[in-house]
Amino acid sequence: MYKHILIPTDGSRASARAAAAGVELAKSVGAKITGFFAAPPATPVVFKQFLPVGYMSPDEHKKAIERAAAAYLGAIERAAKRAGVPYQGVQVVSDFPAEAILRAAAKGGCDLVFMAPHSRRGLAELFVGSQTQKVLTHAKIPVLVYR
Amino acid sequence: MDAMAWIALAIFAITIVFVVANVIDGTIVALVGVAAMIWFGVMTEVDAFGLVDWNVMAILISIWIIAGYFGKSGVPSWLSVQALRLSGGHPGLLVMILSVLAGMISMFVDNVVVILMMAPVALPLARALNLPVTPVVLMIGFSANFMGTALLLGDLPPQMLHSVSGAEFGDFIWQFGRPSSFPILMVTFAITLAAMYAYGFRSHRRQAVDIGALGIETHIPNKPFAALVVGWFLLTVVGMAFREALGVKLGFIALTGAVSLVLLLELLRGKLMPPSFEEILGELDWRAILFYIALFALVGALEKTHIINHVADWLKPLFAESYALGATLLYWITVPIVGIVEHDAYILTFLYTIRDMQADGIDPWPLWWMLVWSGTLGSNLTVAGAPALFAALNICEREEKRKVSLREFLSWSIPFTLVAAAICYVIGMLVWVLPYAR
Repeated sequence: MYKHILIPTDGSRASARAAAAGVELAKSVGAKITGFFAAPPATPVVFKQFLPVGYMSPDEHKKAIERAAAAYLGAIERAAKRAGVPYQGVQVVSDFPAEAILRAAAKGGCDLVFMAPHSRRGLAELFVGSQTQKVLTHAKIPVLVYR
Repeated sequence: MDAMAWIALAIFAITIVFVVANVIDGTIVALVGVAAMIWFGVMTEVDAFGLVDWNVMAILISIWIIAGYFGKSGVPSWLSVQALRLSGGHPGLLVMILSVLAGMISMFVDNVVVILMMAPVALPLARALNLPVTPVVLMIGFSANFMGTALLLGDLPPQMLHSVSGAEFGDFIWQFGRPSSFPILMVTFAITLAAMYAYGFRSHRRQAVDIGALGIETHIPNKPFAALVVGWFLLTVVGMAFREALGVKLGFIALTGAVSLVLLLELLRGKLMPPSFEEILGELDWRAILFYIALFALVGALEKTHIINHVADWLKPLFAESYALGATLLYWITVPIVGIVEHDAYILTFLYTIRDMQADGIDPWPLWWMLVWSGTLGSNLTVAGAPALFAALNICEREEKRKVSLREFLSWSIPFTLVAAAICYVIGMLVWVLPYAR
């Protein structure tokens, strides 16, 4: 059935739940997993969605992003190891997660994207749109949205 | 306003909206706007031709030709390598030196050309020092855009000021017993760079770099060619500085410089092996040239139908009531507007407006300077404000193989623009506006 599943994460609880379920699916069908995180660029301004919420030197910001990426992808890696599922982690810099997800899936030869239904809420979702919706609209491979 | 004035205003407004919207190429839109002005009887085709300041177009094209040879001389690459040596491997310092280099060159060379010259060399330097590419290229873009107005040659706004006011080369350095564009923008630039260093570049750690392994030319490959081009460039600039003594138009001096350089290079082709004239001509930004020609005709049509007179009459009481308040409003309303719309049309329109206010006793020079400075500094706010930043952004995205989001761009452009605009405003008010306001 599916041989290579892409599981994007943004560190939210929804994507953590989806990642756990994705690992179970991969185990059941004998697929390998690629954990994926689209890191924001390390600007001096720290954004929460659209709003600037703080300042950090780009060096410190980059380290903070890398720590976050290690934590988010690390969670998927540990789940994959426990389940005995082959795993690799991919991290890219992008402020456009949906596009980055689709590009990573195509580059990695994935045949399924397994993701949470939303990460942005409120104004951000209104103005920017759901990343999941964008992936669903533009994907050329199956997308499974885990609620 | 009579019917013809309303028609002219409508055509102008529609043209600008389409230029800003960027659905159709702006040059085509502008040319169609001129054609519409003619077909609707606002002006004749002879009027349209006469409204273009061909002196400014000659300056633009001539300097671009010389800059085209300069870009191929290897000098920008050599200068960038010297910048790396000077930085001692400090990434933040390298960015500042490259920004200064971009700013200095852009006082004489078009902003887009500066970015296209410097980015290919800046990119390997940035990688060697583990610097993220986007802020480095954007800083070069901001600096090139910023300092283009310091002297007469670097950008269209100062050349438009020359066209409308008769400002000479020396007026951009010292005028009426006070420092003008060059010294004021230099001070503003220095403070802005210091602020940007503190904001985004001071924390990068020093790196050891093998310059030889960078893959960029560390020596000027064709020294005689480079020497001739740089020397002729400087000679042309000196000629333009002494325009009044020579008694001819600036455009003619620039054209003489360009044409004589081309002639010399062709005559010495065997010895110097320069790029061909066809290659240089082919690399000129003909879209921009046609756009600027159309712009002069479009704004000229507003002048012809006295729309600009009406705007001047409407604004005059504000400046007569409080010159300082008027200058402040002019400055701070200009900054955000030129940040989101192409700034040349706006600046040219208001240069004429200020000129018309002069007839009623409003001192034009402080307002002209404040307009040109705010119009240039504000255009760094977004990509829409300046074509140079569009070129810079394309380079960033191509190099990083990802799109640069608006929030990422604004995280660099807003601090740069706000600091520059604030410093320049304070200096401009102290040196130019308040003394006249009294």
